[in-house]
Amino acid sequence: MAGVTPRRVQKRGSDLPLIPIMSLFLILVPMLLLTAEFERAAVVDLFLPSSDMAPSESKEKGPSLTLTVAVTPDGLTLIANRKKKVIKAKKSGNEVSYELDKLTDELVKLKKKYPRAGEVVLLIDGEIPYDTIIQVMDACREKILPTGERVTLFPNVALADRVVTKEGKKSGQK
Amino acid sequence: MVRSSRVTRARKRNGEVITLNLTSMMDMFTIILVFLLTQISAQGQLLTVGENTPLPYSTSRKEVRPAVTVAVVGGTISVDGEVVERNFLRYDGMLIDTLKAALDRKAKKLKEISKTNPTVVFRGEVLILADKTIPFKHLKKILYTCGQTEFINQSLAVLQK
Repeated sequence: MAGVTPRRVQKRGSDLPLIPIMSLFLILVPMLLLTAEFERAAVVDLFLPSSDMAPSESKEKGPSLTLTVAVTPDGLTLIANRKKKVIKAKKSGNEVSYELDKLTDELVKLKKKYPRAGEVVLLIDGEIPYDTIIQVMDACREKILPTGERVTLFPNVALADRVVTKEGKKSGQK
Repeated sequence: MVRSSRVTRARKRNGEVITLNLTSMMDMFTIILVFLLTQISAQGQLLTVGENTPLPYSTSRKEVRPAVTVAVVGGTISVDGEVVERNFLRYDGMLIDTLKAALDRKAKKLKEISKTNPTVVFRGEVLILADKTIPFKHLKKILYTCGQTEFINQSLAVLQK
């Protein structure tokens, strides 16, 4: 029984000198707590449409797509190659909530039809808050599947001002 | 109290050394330490978000690149932490003169630096930190003014969801 040490000796020898490690931890933990980022920042790039963005079927294979999403206090209007689709906003009191899932689903359908397209122009009403703009941009850029996988839809999002002219006709102006 | 002092006396008599039981505290600290080490980013913070700048949340995972920052809170605009305009809402037009002047100065300075330091390349990148409540009619003035200067690579700062 060589491995067994007498009880008394084992008790004395088993104590590790933990106090230096504790001192080290006491310094490291507050330092890391101070430098820790609990909210991580990211960026959303803005896309600037260039003059050669105009649809030209000869340059690219397959049909091209001109996609515009108008964001107004009444809801979202999706205009794809002059085909209109209105997604009305839900209103409860002063709160306006957009059905962004519906928008993403529509865009998924369009992406399947036009796999090469990647640009979308948002026509935004002046009163729309910045937070909503970011959410609509997120809905246009990618769809996050329940598994956490990200499907890229239209990553190049351009912002434009929605101008209502005197005749009540809507037009975009950068 | 009587009992504990009796115990202490008994221990002293037996020559036993009383030690603190630190093991559980060690366990706790190790867990906290490992958690904080995984949280820390090796690159360090490129962006300091002020407490009074409520940024919007986004699903974007694009990393922050070093750029000139334009922060917009209420009516105040600051460029790289320096306040350049206290009330930009007073401008009726699209162009904010004070912001344009400040950005022009920044561009000039960065170009001067890039002449002597080849590691600094002026790409005209600007990062806009804006309060999530500001309406688009105000935000577009900032975007327009940045576009009128040499800062055309604009991006918006957000927080990861």
